[in-house]
Amino acid sequence: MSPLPPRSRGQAHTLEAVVGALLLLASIAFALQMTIVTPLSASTSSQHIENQLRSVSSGVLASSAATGSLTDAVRYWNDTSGGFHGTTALGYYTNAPPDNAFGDVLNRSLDQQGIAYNVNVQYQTKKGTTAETRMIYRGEPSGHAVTTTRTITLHHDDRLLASDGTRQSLTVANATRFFVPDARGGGSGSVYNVVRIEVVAWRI
Amino acid sequence: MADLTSRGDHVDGDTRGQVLLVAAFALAITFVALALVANSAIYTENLATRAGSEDTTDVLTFRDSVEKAVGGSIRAANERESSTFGPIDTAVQSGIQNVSDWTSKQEARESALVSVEHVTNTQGTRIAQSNASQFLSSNTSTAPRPNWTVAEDVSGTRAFEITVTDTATLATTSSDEFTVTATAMGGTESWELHVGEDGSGAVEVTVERENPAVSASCTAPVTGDPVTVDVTAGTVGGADCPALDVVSGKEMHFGAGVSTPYDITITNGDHIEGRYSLVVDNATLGSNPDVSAAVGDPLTNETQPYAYPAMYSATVDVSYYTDVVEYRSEIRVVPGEPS
Repeated sequence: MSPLPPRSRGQAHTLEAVVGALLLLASIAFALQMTIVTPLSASTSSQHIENQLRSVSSGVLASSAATGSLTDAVRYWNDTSGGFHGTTALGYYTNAPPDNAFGDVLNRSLDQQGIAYNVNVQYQTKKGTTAETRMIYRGEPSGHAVTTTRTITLHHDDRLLASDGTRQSLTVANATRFFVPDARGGGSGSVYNVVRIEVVAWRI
Repeated sequence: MADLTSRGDHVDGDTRGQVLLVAAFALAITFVALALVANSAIYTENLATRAGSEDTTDVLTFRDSVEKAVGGSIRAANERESSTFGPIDTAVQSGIQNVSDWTSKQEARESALVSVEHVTNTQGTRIAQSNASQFLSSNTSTAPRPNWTVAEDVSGTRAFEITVTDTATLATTSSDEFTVTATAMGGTESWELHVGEDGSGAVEVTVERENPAVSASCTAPVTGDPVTVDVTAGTVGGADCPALDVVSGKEMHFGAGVSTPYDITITNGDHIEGRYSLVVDNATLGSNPDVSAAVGDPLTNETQPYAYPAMYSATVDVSYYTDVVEYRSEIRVVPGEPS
């Protein structure tokens, strides 16, 4: 007849089993936790979404710069009220894009795809620093917002545009309240200022 | 250490606990290793799907905006209609310097070092009639004639625009139509542009070239005045005109098939009324009696052709440096040159 096992072996066995079970459970939980959220999973911070937003906005800026509607949008300025045509006292667009070719492209490519955007205009000041003005403001961008920029130049004989898009006789150099100042500082160059259009886009 | 082999005189349960622990360890290590492998695979896929071409896109965007900036600067300086070339040269060079300074400040925010330097430029002449009238020669030495020479010894023409302000003056038969001809100097090959009316009130443009001989025409999309024919950009009334671009695989742009240098002449200048402007790369046109030499202040209401000094092209050195891209190139900017 075999002797009975010592009384303390049962506790050791239990302890080993419990530790073994805990170890197994912890490693399964750890392994599962690692693979749940990745940068490519379907959330608002997906890398694919950022790539798509970047290519859509740079396409919008490239086509607008090629047709000249980007520089038209910068000069779509109401010099008497000191803001863009069709804006409120804020001076920038909030609800709807501007009523020109650039606004149409923004509406078709971004608004109708459920993408919100801010458009900022950066330019040189007389002191030599860079200043920024809002053209379109739709709110604070979310975490995955993408910024694309495009640079255009304004020349001293460029005219401001009226609200129907026709050229006025007022040039950017003679306008009294145009937001882009003459950065030449009295020089004789034909380039009035260099303006950088920045589009910040995010999905809503 | 417990003996893992089971012996007859020990109960099997004696050794099972430690086997369980070892098995649990092994499984735990396996799960962690699998999680590591799965994570690496996901991270690799993430890296692979990133848009890696952003840096080169920025370079090409910058080069394009510099080309447009310099082209606009040339155009704005030429339109000051100065009677000497010096102020135009100064205006363009200081414009390019300003563009370089300001864009380098703005691009520095994106961690890019850029610069634009003027290398050289070519002087040319701008011939223009700025008020609506028939396209006759100037009246400095002889009475205005409908058939005259616009420019001689020309190797390049750009920004050639004709605006027709009265379509009723256009002829409908091809022998009476207003014609611009580019003929090779000392040769016979020619390129012709006819502007007439198609019989129903719309402007019709016919282009003929030789060697090989191709003829094509296009019509303005709407009737009415004014109609702009942009010869070098290839549009009639705002619509694209293949007859000024490529037809059946043959180039039809201004001066196609004509070896340089060539002469530009106008015939039947009395069968059109409007304005025109073109820039040629010959800087010594003061001796052409058919075109007046511009003097004094800008002339805005002249009904005869005037020649102003103008810049034909400029070459700039563009460089763009970031931590991953180095780009340096010389660009020749010729705004409105037919491609």
